[in-house]
Amino acid sequence: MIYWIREIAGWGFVVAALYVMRIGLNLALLESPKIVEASVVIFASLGLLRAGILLIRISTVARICQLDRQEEKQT
Amino acid sequence: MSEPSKFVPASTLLERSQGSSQFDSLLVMAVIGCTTGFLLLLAPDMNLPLKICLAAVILLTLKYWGSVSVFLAVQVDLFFREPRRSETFQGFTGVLTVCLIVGLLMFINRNREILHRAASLSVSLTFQRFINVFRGEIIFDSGKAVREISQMMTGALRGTAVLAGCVFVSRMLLNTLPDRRSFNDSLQTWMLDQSSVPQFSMLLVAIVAAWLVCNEISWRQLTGEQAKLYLRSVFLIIHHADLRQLVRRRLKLRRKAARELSNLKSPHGILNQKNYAGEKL
Repeated sequence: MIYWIREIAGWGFVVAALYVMRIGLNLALLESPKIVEASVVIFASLGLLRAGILLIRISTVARICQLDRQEEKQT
Repeated sequence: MSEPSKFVPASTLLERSQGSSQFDSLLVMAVIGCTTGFLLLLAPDMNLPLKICLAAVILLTLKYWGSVSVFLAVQVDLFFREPRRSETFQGFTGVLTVCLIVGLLMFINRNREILHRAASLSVSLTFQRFINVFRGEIIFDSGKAVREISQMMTGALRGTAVLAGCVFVSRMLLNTLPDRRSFNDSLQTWMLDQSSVPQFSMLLVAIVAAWLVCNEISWRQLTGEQAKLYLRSVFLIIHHADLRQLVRRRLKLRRKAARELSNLKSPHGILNQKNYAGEKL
């Protein structure tokens, strides 16, 4: 169960990162673009993306490890 | 009579063993005094009781965070002063202020080990030590003290040289860089002139999204062994960064040794080249 919570939290982070990235792009694509502000926002979104991907990866490998152990026990 | 030298063994394998220093208490007092004085100078408009509370909180966190907490306090102070364009950070006084701030941060970081040791003692013992310093009841080993003074002087000289160099180089770099307004203006004109920039940024986002999907699909194909290896490596990165550093160093050495061995065994290797040269002669 905890793996699924992690996975959902990870995907939530990824979605949030994409949303923040969109905000950053909107700042950069204004009529008078705010490049410095946009770069700061995009940098923050990359941090969020990295955290989300880490959570998803950890939950996936943890599930694989658990399945592997169950198979070992059965054999 | 000189006091026998104390030797504190390391509590774990990864910690350095700590010999006693003649000036521990004085250095702890110096660090606390300098930091308190400096923190009280920050935020001139703030009420004194609040300022003392904040200084106390920062001092209490010195054990865990070193100079990071002081650095954050400086950043917050700069942030609140920014709209008024304070003259503290301009001209010669600005250079002096920056030197003082960086010097204080270096001082705290240099004496962090002593702070750790002081923080791990009980409060009454630490207080007793301070009182002993004031009463002159500490027995000094004069030879050791002289050696330590020379080490401290060398360290201070090295620190001053590094500090002066850093401030000089950073001032040079900052003078060559454009200020924020002109930088923003030039970026805006460049972006408005180049119509391909927005398209390229959208393409970049699409590539990131595609990479994300492909990566996740490939990630789910891992074998059990690979998954275990990844979990172990992540655990090591998060919880034992120092151990990871040791492992990496050993792996690097092993790789280097293996490369040298293969170089010796290969037909074009050094050993064979030498033999070939010997045969030729």
